[in-house]
Amino acid sequence: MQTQKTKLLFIIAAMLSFAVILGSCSKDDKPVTPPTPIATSPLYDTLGWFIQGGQGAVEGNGTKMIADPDNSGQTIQAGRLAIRTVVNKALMVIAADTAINIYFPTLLAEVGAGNTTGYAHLRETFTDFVQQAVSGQQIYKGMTMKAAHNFATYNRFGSAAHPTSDEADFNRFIGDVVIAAQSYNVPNSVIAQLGVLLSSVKGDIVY
Amino acid sequence: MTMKKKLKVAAGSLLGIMFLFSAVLLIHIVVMVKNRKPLPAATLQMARADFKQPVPDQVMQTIQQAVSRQKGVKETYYNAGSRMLVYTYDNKVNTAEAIYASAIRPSGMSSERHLVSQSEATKGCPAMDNHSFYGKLTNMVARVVN
Ligand code: HEM
Ligand code: HEM
Repeated sequence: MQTQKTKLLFIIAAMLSFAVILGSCSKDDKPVTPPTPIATSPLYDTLGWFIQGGQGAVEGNGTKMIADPDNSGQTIQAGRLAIRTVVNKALMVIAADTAINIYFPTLLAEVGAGNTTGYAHLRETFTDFVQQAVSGQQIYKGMTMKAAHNFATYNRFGSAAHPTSDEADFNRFIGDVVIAAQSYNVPNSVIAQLGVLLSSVKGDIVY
Repeated sequence: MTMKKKLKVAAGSLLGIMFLFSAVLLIHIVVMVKNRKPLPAATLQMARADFKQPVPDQVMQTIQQAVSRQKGVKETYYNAGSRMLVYTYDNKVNTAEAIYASAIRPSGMSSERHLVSQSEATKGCPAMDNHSFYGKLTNMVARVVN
């Protein structure tokens, strides 16, 4: 019986370490303490200013807290709201773009089947990423761009037939984001700055 | 060891493993959902209609306006190249079918509502599907710990 007991102990130990490993996957359990003062940039201010109707002084509008139209009772930074608005539209443009929507099979299938969590989640992580790139606030907690854009490391990206995207796909993707921004009449000078920022991650996504 | 004793050990191990797996699952879910903030527009859904012939701008404008007037519709987008009309709506308020039936089909333009196949529909993550067993369990745990 002694060996049985050791075996059982061993199994329990293995399970517990498994639990610890799974538990360590979590990213959401601690609320992020925002750095004071909250980082911002002229582009972030411009976006926040624009989403509020583009009146008056630009400075300070990026981090200004305003009511969140999509989350009753909550507030949101105006700059983030501008970015999220464009991101949400960009995903619609992508869904109608046959060159790019093939890379989103899982997401689009989930949404079509009425399971909207992944879609809501992507709108958030994508917004986090762009908000961080634009404002300098360290809020993105998702995967690295390299890991997220390869079927081998993330099975929600692409398929066995299309495991990675090429340069043409990348440029088209940026084009879809631009179309989304233009649909809200974001000035071209602002879109150009966004385009430059987004293009900087090309090396991590096209390889 | 007698046969009976062996059986007892086997049954005990099986039960123990099942218990441990369940505990691991529960702990995992608790860790994942603890302090999770509600996602903005969590019930926003996207749907697509595919047109079978080019649609004149004027007509498409009318269709998009009709779609936008439907209950719960948030935004529309049309890609003239792929002839796909995409619309987002709150799935607590309306359904893709109803919106299609009352705002797109009557346009007289030949079109089809895009549907995901059964095999595509099962590709998603079970934990994220509110109708699946895991989705329900996840929501239940979220209500308890938050
Ligand atoms: C400027 C370029 C891009 C940026 C900043 C970007 C950003 C992101 C981010 C932040 C995520 C979420 C990762 C996570 O959840 O941890 C993501 C996922 C994804 N991206 Fe990109 N991306 C870019 C270009 C592309 C391109 C060119 C494609 C395809 C051709 C693409 C396809 C996808 C797909 C399929 C996913 C997974 C979606 C899902 O959740 O199911 N992305 N991207
Ligand atoms: C082999 C099995 C599994 C693996 C490798 C796994 C891994 C993961 C990972 C990586 C995430 C983070 C996704 C993200 O937010 O970016 C996650 C989220 C999550 N998982 Fe698991 N998981 C597994 C099974 C399960 C099961 C069976 C359940 C539930 C019954 C579950 C419940 C959850 C929940 C509730 C979330 C949070 C989803 C959200 O943010 O809305 N997981 N899991």
